[in-house]
Amino acid sequence: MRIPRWTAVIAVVTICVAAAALGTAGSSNAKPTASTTVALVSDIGKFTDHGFNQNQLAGLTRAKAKLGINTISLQSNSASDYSPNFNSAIRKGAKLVIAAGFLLAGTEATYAKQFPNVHFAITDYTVHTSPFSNKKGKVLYNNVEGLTYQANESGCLVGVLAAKMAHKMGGDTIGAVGGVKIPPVDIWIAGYKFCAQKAVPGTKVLIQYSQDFVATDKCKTVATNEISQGAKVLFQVAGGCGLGTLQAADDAGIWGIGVDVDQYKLAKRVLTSGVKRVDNGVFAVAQQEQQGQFKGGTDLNFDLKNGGMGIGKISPSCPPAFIKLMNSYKAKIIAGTLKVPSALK
Amino acid sequence: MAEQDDAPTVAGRLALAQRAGGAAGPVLTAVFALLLGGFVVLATGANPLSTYRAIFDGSGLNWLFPWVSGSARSFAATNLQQTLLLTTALVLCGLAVSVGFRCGLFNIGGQGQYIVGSIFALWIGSSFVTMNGPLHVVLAIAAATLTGAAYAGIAGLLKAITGAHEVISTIMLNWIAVWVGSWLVGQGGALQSHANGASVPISSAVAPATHLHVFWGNPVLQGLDVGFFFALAALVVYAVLLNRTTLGFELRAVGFNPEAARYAGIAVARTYVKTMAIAGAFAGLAGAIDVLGWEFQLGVTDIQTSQIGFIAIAVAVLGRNRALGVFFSALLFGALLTGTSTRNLDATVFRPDLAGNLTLIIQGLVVLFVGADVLMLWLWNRRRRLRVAT
Repeated sequence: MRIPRWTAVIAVVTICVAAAALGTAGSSNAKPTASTTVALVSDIGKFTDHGFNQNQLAGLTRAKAKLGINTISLQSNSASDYSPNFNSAIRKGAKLVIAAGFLLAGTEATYAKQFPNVHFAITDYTVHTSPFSNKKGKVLYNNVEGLTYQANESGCLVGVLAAKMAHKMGGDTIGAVGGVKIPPVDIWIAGYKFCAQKAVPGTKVLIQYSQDFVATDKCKTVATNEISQGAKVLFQVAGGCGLGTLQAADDAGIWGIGVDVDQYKLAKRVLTSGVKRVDNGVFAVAQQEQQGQFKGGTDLNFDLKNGGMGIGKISPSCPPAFIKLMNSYKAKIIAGTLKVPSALK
Repeated sequence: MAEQDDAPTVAGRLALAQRAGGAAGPVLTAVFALLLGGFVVLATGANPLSTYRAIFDGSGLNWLFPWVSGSARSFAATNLQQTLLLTTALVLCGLAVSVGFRCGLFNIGGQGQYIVGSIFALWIGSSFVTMNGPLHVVLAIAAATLTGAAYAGIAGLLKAITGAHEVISTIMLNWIAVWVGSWLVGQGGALQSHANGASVPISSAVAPATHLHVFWGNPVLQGLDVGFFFALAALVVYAVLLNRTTLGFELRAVGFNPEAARYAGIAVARTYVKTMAIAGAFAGLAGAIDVLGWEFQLGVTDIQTSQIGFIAIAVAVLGRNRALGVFFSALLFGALLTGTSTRNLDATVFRPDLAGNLTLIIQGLVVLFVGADVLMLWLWNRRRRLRVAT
């Protein structure tokens, strides 16, 4: 019976060493500060997604530098992190907690109810819908502000360029490769399709979904499929997955269009990008909070007019006439004379 | 010596590990994995000791020390609740993998069985809202457990009838579960929430009456629910089933040597099906407990990114497929996951975005060391024999 005793010794020693090394109480780092603290909770895309979450973190970092506020960034690695992350933000003294997207809506509503004195904001989500409003559309929590984006307006602008480029290349077909068929994706494609067909009547718009926001190969497959159906320009609306779309466009010698952030440098043949400034949203609501102008129970809307939406660098291969046409669309949208649909029919 | 000849067989290795004494292998494996993880921490320029200490404190396990008091203690309590919530799911999914191993089956399908269980619990829980509360809970849990069992049973049945390898079939069943689940809660899916024009790919929430009772912490803010006791009970059931019942004996006999078991009159094919069904029941129960305990609703992305069933493989491997071992290794991984979260790990100690990967590294090392520590113990045994001989 020598081995079991040996085992026990190892176990006991290990436990003792662990206890000694790790054991003492964690220091409570409660530093009293006069300045505002703003927290950002990511969804499970994490802050390393080169897009939606990371961009919002950039907005928070900018707010910290320019506004001198304290910031807390909390990453959700799985759904089980949502609630503890909100809890942690509030316990660390956050006056405003920003949720990075719709996945956090349910948790945010729970916390908004539980902590009426804390302010909350949510990216890409309106407070005029469940779970922040009741069935009659009445807003339930006056401490939650929605940050909404008119992505259809940027989608429209890239759609104009796409249709004109395809026409120039002797085709009549353009495509969009979405991640998953959800409203935040379809709002881009709705604007894209609408304005493409307005700019060049008779343009065929192929719309397919890769069912993924991460795996580039899946977007590449869908993109290749659309290229084989004659698409001359492909709009990627699938986050990181969409890099596959841009690569497929490169390989086929057609044009790709980036999304969310300026993706001009991510491939050789990027016509332009539809840009959604979620960083501006985070910055704006943090600034509101600091200045005591937080407007709970309402949405803060971002569009072409206030610079919350835009487009990225345009390839020099794009004829100036096309850009001029696009700018005329932009002027009409800003003036309110052109209404772009926000949902696919 | 006879055991030198049979060393390559699974049964031989298992017997060797057991002869070498229960806890030595797993403890050494964990220590080595943490040690190597420490070198990784060192390579990033951080201090491994203070990092591990921060992770330990972040996991809430410092709550067990009586000298932790005040706000640190209440922080520790919230953290420990999260660790134990993860432990609950990891124990149950770990048992789903373990029971397979004991029968010589490699059940990689824990994730799929977990998803099937959570979907059925979600469906029952979010429908029939006028039903009597306790009855509703029982129905949701029973449905999840049974469908989990049936789902895993498919892989068992395929193995029994056609000899299809369970590794392949359970992996494929995982994907079927992921995509059917995504379809159900996704845009236009049968379980998608349509409340007030919301059009995001998230399901409705389960009825408040079906929420499991929270016995520690704030019931609204994800405290620890009674599902934890289900996991503890499942460990007892597992130990009794394997060691004190005929089915358990048959299961282990098939695991050691299916041909010998068949020769001894055990219905091997039937045992495969039963074992997979038991595995699926554990994983399905885990899905139900998560949905009714803290998750309440499921989004497409939640289903697609959940990893619990895969971490459970490392749990089973490290726990040597024994009830007590599974409990402690589930606790270890639950603590690592909670301790390395960005909310708990101070960025000045170790970069939290790297810390998440530290858990993955340790998980990988644990699986890698399975073979290595059996080798180590074999060398140890040889060394002893040599010493006796001289």
